[in-house]
Formats: sequence, structure tokens, C-alpha cells
Amino acid sequence: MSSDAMALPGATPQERGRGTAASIETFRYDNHVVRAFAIATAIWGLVGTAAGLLIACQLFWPQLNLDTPFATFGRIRPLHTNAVIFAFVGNGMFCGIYYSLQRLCKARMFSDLLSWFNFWGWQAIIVSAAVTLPLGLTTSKEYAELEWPIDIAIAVVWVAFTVNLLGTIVKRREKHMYVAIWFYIATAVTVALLHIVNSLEVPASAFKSYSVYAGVQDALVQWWYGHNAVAFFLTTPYLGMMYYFLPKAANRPVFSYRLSIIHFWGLIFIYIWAGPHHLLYTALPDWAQSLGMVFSIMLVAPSWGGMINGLLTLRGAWDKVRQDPMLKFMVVAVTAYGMATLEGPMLAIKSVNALSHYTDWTIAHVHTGALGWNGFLTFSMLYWLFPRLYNTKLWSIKLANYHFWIGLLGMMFYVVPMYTSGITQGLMWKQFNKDGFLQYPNFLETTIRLIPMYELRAIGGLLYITGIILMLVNLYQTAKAGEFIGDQEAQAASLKTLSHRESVNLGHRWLEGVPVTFTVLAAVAVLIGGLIEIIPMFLIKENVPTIASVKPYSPLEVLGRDIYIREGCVGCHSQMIRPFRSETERYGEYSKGGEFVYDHPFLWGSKRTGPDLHRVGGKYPDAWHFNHLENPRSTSPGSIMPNYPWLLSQKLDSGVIGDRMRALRKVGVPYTDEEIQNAPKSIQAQSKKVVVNLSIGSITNAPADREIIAVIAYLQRLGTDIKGRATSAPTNALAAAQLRN
Amino acid sequence: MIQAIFKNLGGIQNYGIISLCLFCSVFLGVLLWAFLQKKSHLDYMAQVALDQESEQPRNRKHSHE
Repeated sequence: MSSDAMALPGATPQERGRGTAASIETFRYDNHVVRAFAIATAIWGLVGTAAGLLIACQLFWPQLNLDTPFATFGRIRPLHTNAVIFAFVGNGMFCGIYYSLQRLCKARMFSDLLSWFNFWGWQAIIVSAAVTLPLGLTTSKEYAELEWPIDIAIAVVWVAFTVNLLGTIVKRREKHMYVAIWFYIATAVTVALLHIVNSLEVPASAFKSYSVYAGVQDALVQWWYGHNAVAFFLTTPYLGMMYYFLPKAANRPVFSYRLSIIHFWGLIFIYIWAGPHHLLYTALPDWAQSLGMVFSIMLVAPSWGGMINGLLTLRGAWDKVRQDPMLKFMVVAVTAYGMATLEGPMLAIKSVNALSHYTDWTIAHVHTGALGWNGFLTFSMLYWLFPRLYNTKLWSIKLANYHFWIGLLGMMFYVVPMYTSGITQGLMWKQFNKDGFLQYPNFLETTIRLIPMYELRAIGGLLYITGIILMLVNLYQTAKAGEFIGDQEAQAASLKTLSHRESVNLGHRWLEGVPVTFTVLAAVAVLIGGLIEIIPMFLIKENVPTIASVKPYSPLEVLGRDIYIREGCVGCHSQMIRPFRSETERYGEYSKGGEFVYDHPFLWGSKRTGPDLHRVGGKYPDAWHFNHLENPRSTSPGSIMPNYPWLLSQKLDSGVIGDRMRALRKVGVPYTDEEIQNAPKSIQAQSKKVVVNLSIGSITNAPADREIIAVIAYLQRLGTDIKGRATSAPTNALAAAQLRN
Repeated sequence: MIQAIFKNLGGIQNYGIISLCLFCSVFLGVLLWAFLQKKSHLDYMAQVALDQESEQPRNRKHSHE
């Protein structure tokens, strides 16, 4: 690179020509850690999607659950979501950030030690997730399933990443922070906040904890986290990468930098409010639901501003899209972002959500984002990056084009059947016949109807994975053909030389030069929405009306509930009956906030592959549950639920009950010392009752000390607290109105 | 004290309106802010991502095709 001051990359047009050769500094970009994250994202991408393919196949071929606890759908589903979100996208995000941040700051990363701590720490967390989730060690909170020791590790690694990020920004040689860096800052700050608040839990043992929140409050915090994990883990870092890699690939500046300012501030301010749209028509107070819905609709504006900004960056360069597979992937990624961010707000409209929620429509929606936006943008970045890291050309453009078309076809085969499946199931659940009865009263009818769609979806997944394998071959061959540049030399003028020329400016130009102030303002922007929604939910009693008849679970039911959590039953069964006639006819009285005050964590679920279970207590005899859990097809022919034979053979570990009840007491369940002391006796007594009930149902000699006894006790308790008693008043006027209809 | 204030907080029905007003003022503020930026600065910033010469592959080898 020339040392001529006229060519200083860090100088503004006005500054160029004023610098001297003495002001130029030579430094090296760290490509080692970028390569490590690039390889990690490529490999974990294959692993995560392969886990997805396995669970997709289990839904039409239940024998693939293998009758072993470690391979069942309930345990592998969180493995799939965690692998894709945190391993594939997480490593992709770090890869993109570590590469672009150094170039945008014209500085090496703040600390090589922190960079490698970030890399190895993150891989260790992923491996620990891959071990603990199949073992059933889970909190059950979606995308936050990992137990408390791993939660602490995540926080530590994330802090290391944030320090490294901010440290690099502080020591930068480019006065102004490019838009991509704003998105990285918002990501670092917000993910830390979300993770810490949502993961507050009290340990009962080394790998078992209880959320400090219960019921309605736990649901609100969880979906505040869950929605914003989508926003600030899957979206904002990738938007930063879009703003960096798209202009570079197209070799033209971003279409409108002004629009990017509006995109950034609009997006981070609004996104945080939208969490409650995951809880529409639930027992969440109506005001919070309305806030979630309105802010979700507003979200279209900044999201589409960003998408349009991305696509219009390609104006005049569409001929390149035809030739460059990297740009093809990028265009589909940005288009998928636009589609998902229009569909999301649409699904957040209450009347649409009434049909879509709990169905495969949501699955189709999230996969448009995951496969299209995150997947294709990651592939695009890797195809761009590898030739540059290895100082060569891509091994095969033709193979990359095959990957593009196979991946696109795979995506179509995935989402189209899922849309069909979601709308079909939603309509079947709500269909009444001319006599006013449910047209499909047996839930299983609606599941069996979807099986052809599940089969097609698996074909889509297989195609998508085939594309990833082609990419791995291509990237490996590219690396083999080239020579890795681990420490890439660069030169730039020091910031000190440039900064004195900045005039006082209170606009965005000023803000781009003060990273700490920028970070604080971004944190305030994301905090406002969260605080306004969460604080009143905790402190204003009328949000969760108490119901006198609702009592804490018995010791045996606590253990049964823990097994229900361990097996991931919440992945397929909701415990939240919405106030629709179609639901109250099918399941019983709609669910009320006051019924969940002892539910640490809440188990409302977000998907009904099987029926809702909130009022299943007392609906079937104990023997039915026994047979059903051993082999669901013995009681429900055609069921796609896995067998749980180990529940019949594994001995219930009742020795842990004291620690668990004490932990639950710490989070607010009013167990007395006497109750905790007498818990073993209580377990024995209640187990005996279940055994007697089983013998009435012709299941003789059932051992009282097996796990299935606790699960049956828990299932039979569900939703019974208000049965046979005067139910509480509806929690809101809307619920009452729905019932009248 | 803060807890006491929130516990006695009423008027939940106004939350939606308050939030909407808050959003509109922030959004309009950002809009105004963005449009008051100097074009020369925005043009410069838009070039920042492109302003690196050293990332093009050097000594390009032939691709597989």
C-alpha cells in the first residue's frame, strides 16, 4: 500500500492532502480468528440443519425416535434450534463482525486473547449444549434452554466479546463509525441485557434450576427475550453485515446512508416492544397484547427501509447478480428479510394470530428468516470471504451456483408445505359443523392430515443440507488452492492526527465519533420498551388476578412436572387455552393468569403438534395415560408422538425433592418447612393412589417408584384447581366477549 | 420508593397512548435528525465500507472452471 498521504484510507476527502507520511501507522488485521469462526459456522450449519432434518422426519416416522430418551423429538428439537441459532448464526455473526469491524475501524481487534477466548468459549458452550440437551438438562424456555452453569458461561463469553468490540472501536483509526458498527454495538448491549434478565433462576442442583418468574410474568419476560433474540441475535448483526458485505460485493456505496440512520434507530427502538405478540389471546393482560401488536405493525417501516436500502444498493449492478453467486445469495437473503418482516407484523395482528398461532404457519415464518435471511447471508459472506482469506479465487463458481439453486429449491420445499400445513390445521381446529359441534373433535384427525406436508418439508430440508455440503467442498478446495493470509498488513493515519480537524457538530456525525455515548443511547433506546412493558407487569397486582383455589403442586407433581420439562413435552403441547369457542369446546374452560402463579417456569408452549394439555387433568383415567406414554398408538392410532418406555423402567429420584422445594420456595412458592420435611411421605402416599387407580384400569403390579407415576400425577393435576368451583371473573373484557361469541 | 410508585400506578389503559406518543416523537426526531445531516458527510460515510484497497484477492489464480 502506498504511504502517500493523498491515499490515506482513513482520511475524509477534505483531510486528504493534509496528512504527512509520519502520521501513517502500519498494523495487521487478524484473519486467524475470522477463519476459525468461518469454519465453525460452516460446520455447525451442517450439524444444526441435520438435527432439523432428523426431527422433521420424526414427525412422520415416529420410529426414528428410537425409543431412547436421547433421540426423542422433545430433546432434539431444542438441540436443533440452539445449534442453528447460537452455533451456526452465532459463529457466522462473530465471523462477519471480526472481519468487518477491523476494516471499518482500520485497527486490529483490541485483544487477540479476548478474540480467542470468545472463539473457544463459544465453541465450549455449543458443545455443552449438545451434551446437556439430549440428556434432558433444560430450563424449557425457548432458545434459553441451557441450564444455569452454561448461562453464566454465556454471559462471561459475551462480556469478553463486548469488551473486545468496544475496545476495537475505541482504538480505531477511522473517526466515524460506519452504520454496520452501530448494529454491532446494539447487538452486544442488548443480547447481554436480554440474556441476563431472562436467565435469572435459582439453582436446585448442578443442572436444575427454577426461573425466578412465574406464569404470566415468566411468559412476558421469556417472549421479550425470545422475540428480541430474533431481533438482536438473528437480525441486527446480520444487518450490519449486510451494510458491509453488500456494498463491497456490488462495489458501490450503500443506496442511502440517511435511510440507514432511520433504519437503525427506528428498528432498535421499536423491536423491543413487540415481544407480547407471541402471547396474543393468552392470559397476558390485554394492554400488553395491544402494545405488542401495534409496535409489531410499526416495525414494518424500519425493516422495509433497511430491505429497500439493501436492494437499491444494487441499482445499476444487477448484471453482476447474474454472474456472481455471492450476490445471488445476498439478494435472496435481503428479499427473505423483507418477506419475513412483512409477514411477522401481519401474524402479530390479533385476528390473523388467532388462526396462525400454535400452527406450522409460525414454523414457515421463522424458516423464511432462518433459511433465507440468516442462511443465505452467511453463505454469501463465506463465498466472498474464503477467496480473500486465502488470496485466491473461489474454486468453483459453478458449484456455488448449484448450491444457490438447490438451497433455494430446498427453501421453497420447506416453507410452502408448512404454510399449507399451518393454515390447514388452524382452519380444522376452528371448523364447526352445521349442528354447532366441532367438525374435527379428535385432535389427531388434524395431525394426520398434515403428514404429507411434513414429508415434503423433509425433502426441502434434505435439499438445503445438500447445498451446504456442496459449499463445504467448495470452500475446502478454495482453501486448499490458496495461501492463507493470517495477519494482513494495512496502513492508516492515526485517529489523533485526524480528530483535531473535526468541527463541533451535534448531529449524527458527532454521535458517530463518540462510541461510548452512542452505546449508552442505543441501550436507552432498547431499554425503554422493555421497562414500560415489564415493570408494571410485576408491580401492579391487577395484571394477574389471584385465584384462591389455586395451590402449589404436591411434591410428586413437582417431580412429574420436572420430568415433563426434561422430556421437552412443551415443544408439542401447549398449556394455554385461548378464549375462543373452538378452544373451550375442545379443551374446556379458557386459561386464566391466576392459574399459573406457581408455574416456575411457565409451560404455555408455542406450538401444538399435539393437543393443549391445560385441562387434561381428570379427562382420562390414569391407566390411559400409562398406556399412552408407553405407546401412544395403543390409545391413539396414527399418533406421531414418541414412545416413552423409559418412564416405566426408570426409578423416580425422589431424593432431590427437598432441594427442589427449597429452591421453589426461594422463587416464591409458599412451601412450609413441614411440607418440605414430609415430602417423601407425601410422594409415597400419592404414588400409592396412582397405583390403585392403575389397577382399576387393569394395570396391575405397576411399581409405585417409577417416573411414570409422577408424570401421571402431574398430568392429572393440570387445570383442575378451578374445576368444580366458581371460576374467577374473566381477566379482561375481551376474553369475556370472546366467550359470549 | 420506586416500587411504591409503581404499585399505586393506575391508568393502564393509557399505556398504549403514552407508548404511541413516545414512539412517534422518537421516530419523528430521528427522521428530522437524519434529514438535517450534511450531504457531503453522508456521501463520505457511504464510502467507508468501500475504502479499503487491500482486500481484493491478489495474484488471482484461475478458478476451477
